[in-house]
Amino acid sequence: MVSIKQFIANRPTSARALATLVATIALLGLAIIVDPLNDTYLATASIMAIAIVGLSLLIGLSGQVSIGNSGFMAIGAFTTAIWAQHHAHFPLLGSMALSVAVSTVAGIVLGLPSTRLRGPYLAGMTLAFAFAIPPFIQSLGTFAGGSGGLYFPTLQTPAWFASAIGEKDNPLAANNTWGAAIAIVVAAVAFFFMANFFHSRSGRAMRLVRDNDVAAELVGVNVARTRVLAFAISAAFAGLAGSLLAIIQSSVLPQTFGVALSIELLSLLVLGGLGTLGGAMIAGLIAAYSDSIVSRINSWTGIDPVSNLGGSLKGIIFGLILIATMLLAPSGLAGLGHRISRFVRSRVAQKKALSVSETP
Amino acid sequence: MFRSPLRRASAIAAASALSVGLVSTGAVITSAGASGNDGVTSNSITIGATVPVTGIASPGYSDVAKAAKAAFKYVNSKSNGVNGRQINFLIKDDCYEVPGFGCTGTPSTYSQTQALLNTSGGLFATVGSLGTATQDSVRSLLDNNGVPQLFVNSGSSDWNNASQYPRLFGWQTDYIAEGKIFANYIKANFKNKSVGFIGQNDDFGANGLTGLNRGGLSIPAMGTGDSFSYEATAAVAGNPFGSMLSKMKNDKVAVVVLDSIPVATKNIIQDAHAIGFKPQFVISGVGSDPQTVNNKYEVGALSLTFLPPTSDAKNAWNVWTKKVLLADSADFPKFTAKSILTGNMQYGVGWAVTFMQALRAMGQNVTQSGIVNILETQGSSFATPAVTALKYSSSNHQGLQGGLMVKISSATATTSITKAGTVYSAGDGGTAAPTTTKYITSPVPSWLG
Amino acid sequence: MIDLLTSRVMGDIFLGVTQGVLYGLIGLSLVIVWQSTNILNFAQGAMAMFATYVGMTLLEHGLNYWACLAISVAAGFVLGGATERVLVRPLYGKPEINSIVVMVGFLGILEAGAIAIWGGTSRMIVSPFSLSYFQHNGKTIFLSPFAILQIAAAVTVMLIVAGLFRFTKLGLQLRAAALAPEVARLLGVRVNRLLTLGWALASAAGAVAAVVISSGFEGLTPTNMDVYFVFGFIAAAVGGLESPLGAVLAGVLIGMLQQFIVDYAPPSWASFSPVLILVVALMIRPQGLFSKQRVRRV
Repeated sequence: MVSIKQFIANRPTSARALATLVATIALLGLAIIVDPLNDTYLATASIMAIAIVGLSLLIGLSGQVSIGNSGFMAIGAFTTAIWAQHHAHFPLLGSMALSVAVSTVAGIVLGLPSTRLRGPYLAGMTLAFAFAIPPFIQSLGTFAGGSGGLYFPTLQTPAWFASAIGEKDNPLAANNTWGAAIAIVVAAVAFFFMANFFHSRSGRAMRLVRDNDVAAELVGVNVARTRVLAFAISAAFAGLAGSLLAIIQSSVLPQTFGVALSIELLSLLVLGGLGTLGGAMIAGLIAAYSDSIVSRINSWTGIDPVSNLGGSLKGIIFGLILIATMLLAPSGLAGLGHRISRFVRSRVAQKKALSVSETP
Repeated sequence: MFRSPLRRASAIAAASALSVGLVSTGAVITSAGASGNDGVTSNSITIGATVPVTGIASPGYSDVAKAAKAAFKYVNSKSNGVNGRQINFLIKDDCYEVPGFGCTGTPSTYSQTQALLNTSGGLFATVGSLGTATQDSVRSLLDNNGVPQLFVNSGSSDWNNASQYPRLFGWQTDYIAEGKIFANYIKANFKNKSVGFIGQNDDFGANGLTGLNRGGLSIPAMGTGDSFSYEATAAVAGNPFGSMLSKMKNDKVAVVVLDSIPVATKNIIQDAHAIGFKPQFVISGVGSDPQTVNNKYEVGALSLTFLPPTSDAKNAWNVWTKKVLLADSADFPKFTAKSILTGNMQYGVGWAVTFMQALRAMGQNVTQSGIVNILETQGSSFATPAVTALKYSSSNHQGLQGGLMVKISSATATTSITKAGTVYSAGDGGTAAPTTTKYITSPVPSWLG
Repeated sequence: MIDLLTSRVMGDIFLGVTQGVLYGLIGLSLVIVWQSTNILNFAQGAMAMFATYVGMTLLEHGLNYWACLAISVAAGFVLGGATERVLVRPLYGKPEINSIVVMVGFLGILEAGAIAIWGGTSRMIVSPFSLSYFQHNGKTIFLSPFAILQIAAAVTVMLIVAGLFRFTKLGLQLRAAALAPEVARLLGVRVNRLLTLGWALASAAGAVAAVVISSGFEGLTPTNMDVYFVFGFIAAAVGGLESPLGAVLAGVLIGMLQQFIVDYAPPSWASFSPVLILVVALMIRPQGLFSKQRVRRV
């Protein structure tokens, strides 16, 4: 135990790399074991987790509330889709990199006013941005597909992968697992970057700006640049998530990326836990599984999913959970886990203390 | 932020515990995959559809899949399904790909179709999924998995592409054919009158306009002259229709053709009334159902239907459809023996019957390639509620190609204005003038119960 | 004169103003809430919608239009006050993300709840005023009796709110409670009650907008207030979040801008161009065009 603790303390980056590697292998293993439906959920979870962890950096670390990240996801998704229109065999990494670049630029542009705006003005401006992006994409006409969206050839599963996982005769299963594998690996890289960034000099500067911008300036932190940097990274992550979504679904429609998606990202982030990597992972999983959980609830309660009540059940549950989280457990599920573990440890310590005192 | 290793460990433990919990909620862990599973067993068959149950497109349209479900339920209980197989019809809400608060999650058509595809035991086909852009987005997904995509609820011509998508079928009369029939009618009945156009800014409006011009009218591109477009999915901002209609009024336009969904139809006719502009409206069958549009100024407008006029209380299919809906009080609690059918209800029952006909024609050997073959070879002879034949063949997957011109005769019903015993047929998608063919009234087969 | 009134430009101005006062009304509600509690109420539009659905449900049982308006506004008043008491009170002094998330959650419950109770179909209240535009020699003046009522309602609400804040003791106490709650409390102001009142007033003002929308062309659906919230927010932010007059004027400007775009440019531009106005306005004057308050420099 002691040596592991020492290893983490002395070589934090290597420790994080190792942890990421172990988690990635475990998740890839899970993707191969589970059925094709769960593969699609794992892919969705990874994609949403990337977008949410980016938002977590912006809100949790730099203290700027954004309701505009659906707009960056749209920019990432459409960049990839437009690229795919012109390239029969588009390279995965190339299109993702391009999407990240374009959405980063958009993030810098939207981040610039953030140096002058505070609180509700900033939140409201990002909301307006999220609102404006889908009609803007529609207005671009055939270049971006108009309101009909864009379609391109589906992701091809490499033959080696299909045979490696023993699904050569089952293209559906192989394709879903391949999609999940790509999403998991990309998410792992993104989370590794984020874990290191949280502990970097820039990460600490962001926290300082969030807590006290005057003090930050006094110790030589460039406040304006730090705020814009947070927007840029957050937008890059959202763009990467959008690009992955487009690649896996091989189609994009502008109206998917409306304000509701932004609000969902924010809600899931708060539910999982603000400013934590674990919270973002939990949030991604909830995003992926919320539909099947709600349909479970529908079948338990006998509510017809096609009725007015059945159709809106998810919105009601979502809203209730958000309010309850904020009023009762503002640190989210990750914080709740932390609190429980602290509670258990203190009880164990108490017991130990008791048993010590009982011995003569 | 993971300051201490213990804290990190607890968060990761929480995350992994949750993931295991969630994965097991989603479905049983198996490695077998869906291989060989096509949703068919000796006593059941599983099909599904993605439709807007909530959101902007749900008013009216949500009844379509419900009516189909009612028809399947009726046949399941009255005749023990088709050939002894109970039809299990799964409906998934895709919110028309416009998420809102009734529709959180990422309920895209894609993810909902994935969920259908991965139904345990497999999915035989999607039947009656709704929307052009939404269904375009899952064509490859379904095709790659060998699952037929049947009777897409849209009049786009995208469904008729048998070489690229051999298992994809439309059902209703397409927008080009509808436009040709409208053009033909307008030329005959409004000679030398000026014609205006307002269309949805996507395939719907574009195909409709193509049809009008192939039918011999000369309407300029949307956005020029008295031809306008509007966005269906963009949020309503400003009043786009007032100035369009005002310009048409100044230009003395006598006939206005609308390719609009019901919500937009309502706004347009109301705006026209408000500026005192009273042209003859000719509205696509997709956006004219009087009970959905629910506006008294629509009365007198013309439209096209490929189903019997809703005012025809004696039509055998209307009678049967009423029976079906009355038997399903869970989905249609307000429907009584005195209610008038809506076009949406007839439409859902229409393609549901077509599916059951195909299933019955296949006999005991039900396969995904079999149904494609049956539709191509026997589809044109199926008895369905439609007043014209399905034109399916190995090269034509569009479906119906004509219909009746009807008048919105009251706030609830439509009546035919086509010569008794005939319907218009648009023929192919080319410029050939529509012809009149026989009005088909197929009897309701007794096995439907 | 008549030629001018029936001209295309005047038509766009009339339509734009008629639409813009609705943005202004929602903006006004946001301003009241912001002034009294420093919270941006994301559920403002949804609260107005819900109150109006309550009014409409009663109208179906045979009440007249004015009674429905009164009931909806009263329902808005009660809903606003109750929201402050139950949901908002625990949020004072907490980070702003908390209030944003709670109000977003409330927005979800109200919209999904309205669909569950009343369905997603658009509903209308038929007003006693005609929606038909005035005609002159076959030409249209894009004003209807209803549009005039709509503009008058917005102006009345704005005058009441401005008057209340500026000229009454209550208004003075409201402002004092918002600016320095502790000092106000020491001076004998019942701060808690005033904060509740601020929310109740804001929500009642929003309900006026929702009733008007439900009598217009599009009717009211559980979700169509979202659009009014976004443009109402833009109006309030451009106006400075603390000026009732500023919010209404900015709302009217946005309405006119959209109408001119819809008429002279591709209609889809109307949805995103106000955002550009917001960005430009905030870059020039981060504290809002009509605000006197100076923004803290970093």
